[in-house]
Amino acid sequence: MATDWDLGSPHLAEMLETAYEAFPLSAERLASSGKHEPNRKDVFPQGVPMSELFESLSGPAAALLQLACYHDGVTRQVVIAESPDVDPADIDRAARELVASEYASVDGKAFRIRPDLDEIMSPPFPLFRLALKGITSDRLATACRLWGVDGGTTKAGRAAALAQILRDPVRLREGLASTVPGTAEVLDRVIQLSTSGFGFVDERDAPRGAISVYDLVDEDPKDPMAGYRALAALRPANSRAYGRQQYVDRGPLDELTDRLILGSHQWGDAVWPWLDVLVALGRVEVAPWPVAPAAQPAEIDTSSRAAATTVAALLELVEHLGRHPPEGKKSGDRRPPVKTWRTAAKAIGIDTALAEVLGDAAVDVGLIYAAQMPVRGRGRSAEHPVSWRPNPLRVEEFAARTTGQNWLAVLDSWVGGAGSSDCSSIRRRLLLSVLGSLPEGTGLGRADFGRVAAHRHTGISGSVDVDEMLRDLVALGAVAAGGIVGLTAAGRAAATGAEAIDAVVGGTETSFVVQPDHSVIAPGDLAPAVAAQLRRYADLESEGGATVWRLARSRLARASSAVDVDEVVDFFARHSSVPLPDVVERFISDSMSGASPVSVETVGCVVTCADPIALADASRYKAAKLTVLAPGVATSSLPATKVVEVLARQGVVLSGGEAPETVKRDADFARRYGRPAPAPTDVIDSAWGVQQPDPNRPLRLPHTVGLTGEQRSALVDKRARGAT
Amino acid sequence: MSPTEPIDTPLVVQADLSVLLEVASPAFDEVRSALGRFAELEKSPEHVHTYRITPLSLWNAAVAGLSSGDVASTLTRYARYPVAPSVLAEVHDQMGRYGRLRLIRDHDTTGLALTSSEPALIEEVARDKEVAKLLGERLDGNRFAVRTGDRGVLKQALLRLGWPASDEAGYDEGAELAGVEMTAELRSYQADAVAAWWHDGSEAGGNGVLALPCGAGKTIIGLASMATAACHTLIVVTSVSSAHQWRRELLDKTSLTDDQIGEYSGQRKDIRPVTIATYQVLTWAKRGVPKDADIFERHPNLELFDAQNWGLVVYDEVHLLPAPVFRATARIQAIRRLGLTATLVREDGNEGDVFSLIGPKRFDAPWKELEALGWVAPATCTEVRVSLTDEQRMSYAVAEPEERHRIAATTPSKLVALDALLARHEGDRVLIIGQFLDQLERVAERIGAPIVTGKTPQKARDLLFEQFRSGEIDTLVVSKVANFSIDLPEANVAIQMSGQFGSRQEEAQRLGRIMRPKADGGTASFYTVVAAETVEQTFALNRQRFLAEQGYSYQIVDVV
Repeated sequence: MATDWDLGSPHLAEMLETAYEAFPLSAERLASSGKHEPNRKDVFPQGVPMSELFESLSGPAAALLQLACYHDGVTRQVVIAESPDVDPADIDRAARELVASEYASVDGKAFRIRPDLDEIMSPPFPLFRLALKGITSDRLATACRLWGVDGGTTKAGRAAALAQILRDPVRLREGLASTVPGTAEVLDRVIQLSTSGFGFVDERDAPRGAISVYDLVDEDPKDPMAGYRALAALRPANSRAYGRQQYVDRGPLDELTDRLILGSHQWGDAVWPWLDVLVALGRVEVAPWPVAPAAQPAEIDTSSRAAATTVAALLELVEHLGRHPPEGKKSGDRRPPVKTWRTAAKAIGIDTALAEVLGDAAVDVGLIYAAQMPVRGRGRSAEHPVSWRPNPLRVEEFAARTTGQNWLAVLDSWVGGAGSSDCSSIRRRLLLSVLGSLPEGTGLGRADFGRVAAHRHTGISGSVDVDEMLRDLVALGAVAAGGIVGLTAAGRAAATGAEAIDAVVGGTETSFVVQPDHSVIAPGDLAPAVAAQLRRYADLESEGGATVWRLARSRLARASSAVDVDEVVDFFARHSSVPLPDVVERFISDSMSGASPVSVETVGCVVTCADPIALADASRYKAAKLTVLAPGVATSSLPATKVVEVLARQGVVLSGGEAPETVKRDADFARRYGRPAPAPTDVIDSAWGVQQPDPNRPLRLPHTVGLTGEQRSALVDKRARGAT
Repeated sequence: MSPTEPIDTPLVVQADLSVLLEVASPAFDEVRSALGRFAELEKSPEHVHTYRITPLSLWNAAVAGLSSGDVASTLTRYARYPVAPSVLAEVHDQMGRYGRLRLIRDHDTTGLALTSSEPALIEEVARDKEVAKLLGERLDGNRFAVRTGDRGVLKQALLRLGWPASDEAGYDEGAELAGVEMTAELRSYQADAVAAWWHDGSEAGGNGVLALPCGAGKTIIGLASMATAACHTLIVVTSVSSAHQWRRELLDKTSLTDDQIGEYSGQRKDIRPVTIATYQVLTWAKRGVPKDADIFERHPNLELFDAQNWGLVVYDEVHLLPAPVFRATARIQAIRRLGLTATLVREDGNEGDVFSLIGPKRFDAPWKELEALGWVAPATCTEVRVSLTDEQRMSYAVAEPEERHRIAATTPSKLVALDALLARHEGDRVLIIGQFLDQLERVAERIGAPIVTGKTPQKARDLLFEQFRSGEIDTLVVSKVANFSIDLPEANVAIQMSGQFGSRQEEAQRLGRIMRPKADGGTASFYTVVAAETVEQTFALNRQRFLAEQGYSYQIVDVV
């Protein structure tokens, strides 16, 4: 039988194109080279987990699936009849998306969702057809008898007869009128509670919209039994002792549950209206068809330079952690404590939200790792703390990569990696997909963007979530700052790859103007390496055609542990297109060599160790009188020779010198991170209980985020060829 | 970015509404005058000046008759990079807000009315709690009656809502001051400033602020404004010395006679057609009257605003206007008002109140511009750092934080530096300025110079200032009483021995003391002596940055 659905056939490519727009996550999975391993969660041919499917459903696709589920297959005429204001072309478009993505199929005139998907579809209220498994044939027979219909002798026959009645408004009203007085009123009350969002019972297996029967009666604080009496009046049959049900003195609630107008819990404490009944009585719609919001894109400034500064800030954050390694309370912690980022943000002068994003990226990328510390305590109260430290091998590798690669790695980490299917990761990818669908160089007002995003993907309709995600993206430089929401050039290039990002963010200018008021005016296309170094000494004040920085005393003071005054002055003198003002030179010098409230005491000796854990172990020998001041540094009131002797007696032999090249690397590390480098070994021992990248494995290349138009076209071609 | 390459698109417009202007550009002068009409000059260091577009600056521009199209075309014409659409949208939005609400004289009731041609807008503001309290009965769909006394407060409330009203209700002309004329000639910029404020006597003018640097002759502009308005005038100033100075100038540069000028101060309460009052006496609070009492009950001297049929009130150093005077000013909005200041920066951030109650900025001229024209003496600023002795260092180290500033500021090490500076400027007119009286007394004793502090009787002060002006004495030690409005035009060296905690306002005012143009066209020297590696150095950093932002050359010298 010929279908009347306009699926665009034979334009398969068009179908696929629209499907991939609607289901970007499916498209990403198809494009990824990794082979899909089926499992219980991933039931679809594309290997898309159900969570991803439901989050990424567009408003219209979700509505069509609901209709198909409700009607157990729906014709185009029915859909049009139920949504008379909707353009039929929109209905066809939603159908095309679902068919091309294999989430639904057309069988003759009926549009059906996949049977396995049908099982897990979650309508707004329980559907009688889908609840039949939990209703015995006897109950169905009783209901048929009360309705006065002949349902036959099979369960299917009885169910079919009842399903017809429950969707027939005339029969329903007649039935209600013929029962005990007050039945219609009780039904009205149940529907009112259930549809007003009140419907919730704390019962396992209670479906959506279920309410407690106790909510149907008023309680009298002076008479605790009044509620029970009122409830007994509603359902006298159910209130009798077990085994004595005689269907006499039937109450309104008995009528409603026995006729199956309401579903009920096996203990009778919860009831709910069927979607079939609600629709028949005109109380709800099966699935209101969402109207596409009208939004006019506006031009935006796509030239954010935040990518380069973000990467510089990440390195600075790692440096900060080197100076102040945070401790995790137990080895199962996947991240350093949150306060670490708050403290770091304050110390290096960045936003706390950005510090959190960068902190996560530092862990995901592998720039910091968790090392096991000695166990504290004994028995059940024993703690297995970890210490989060920079991984010098990975930091070196990271610093050698391009800004584009590193920024993409940060963005990839924020998204959660291409393979992740946790909810926040899915929402982030969907949000980027919506952003990517806006015309290049344009954006939408925040409110319009929210409406468009929610229409495209029902999973990103929460305003708080979207606000937080946008805030992160602005901080990272993927979304333009200001009121208009749109991708920056770098954000758009993230779908193509690191080289494309480098082409966008990689400025070539290396000179700037240093003014006597300590401000530095740099061109917008300042080379990332220069910008990164500038960031170490100055706060960014404003961005636009140029970037305005202000030399900051705190940054210069921090930098003094890694560079000396002459190097900083030389940097500014080299890059300044005007002579470096004397006052600026003085300011740099003052800031980097400022007096600090240091107290000095005499100690017997200072013991340092490349491996802080070994030193912490050694400090357990009280005879050595070691006090650990910082990871890898301890003092003792004993002279050095005595400490060596005491420790040797305990089997801890202090080692001698190291190879010159190793010493040099240690010195570099110490200057940058304020403490000695870990042992120069190719193997770094990480904490066993922390889920983190293997610190000994080289950095992985970041995934691109989303698909470019070309990539999507290639995918469409490939699939279309396969289909033909 | 290279300021040495000439370019004729010297503007860089940032997304945060700051605007950078390259000084080396051949189009600099042209762009600066265009930009100054709608953006506030924030800082003007050597190579790149920074302006900021704010709602207030845009409303000021709207008052001056600029449209958002004019502003947008200036920005886009001179911008080196495309101007972000959000910037243009903000300009359009803010400028479009001014004047959509109007305060008018209602012809039916002869009272005041707030009106707008947009019913939705007037409905919106009328629903605001603050505004609703200030509106009277609804005269028709678009008009609300306003009580005369609420004119200023209503304008403040509307400004806070982001809908500044255009005050078109006109003025009471005040009692006539017949025959008053200027006897001195105005400089061109002074005449421009008066014209910008007066606006041909129309309702569109007659209020507002003129911002000119110290030494640019703000007093003369005040006199000329008074002569133009030719009405009874109240002049409010910061101190008695300043009041005396105004009196001298009134007698010297106008046709007014001594009997026409009154003084309303702690010493005299004499009200004449032109009366000079001090902020201090106006804000004197009667004992026992609670703070929340009626303002005129608590500050009875504010009745002076109603004591005469004033046609003009001149506020000297308007950035210092105290809160009670603001509140009194809110009630006299039917009188013409002129604010004079060197800087619109208020440390309390109440610039919006100045806009609402005194009026918009009508004219400004940057220091450097007047310096280039020779109207203000060029100045060099030097920070002289002295080290504490070991003993002083230890006292400083163990002192409580609140004591540290005093210990550092009054260190005897500074006296050595002072000797060296005085030797270097022998024959110059030197002002030695300080915060701490005991330090100043030690200095005065050491160098044998007279000292002026708050305790010095007014007559003695006036005498010493006169002797300094005439050259009878060449070195004067002054406390912060000389920060404002003291005209000592021949002073060409200022040595700041101690100061407040990095106050920008104080720095501007103290520098202003020596910026009056010199008869020989010489340069002024401004020294700040600070104790190295102490909190003073940190405070000095703020001042240093402020002066560098204003474009003054700044050096740091160590005294070993």
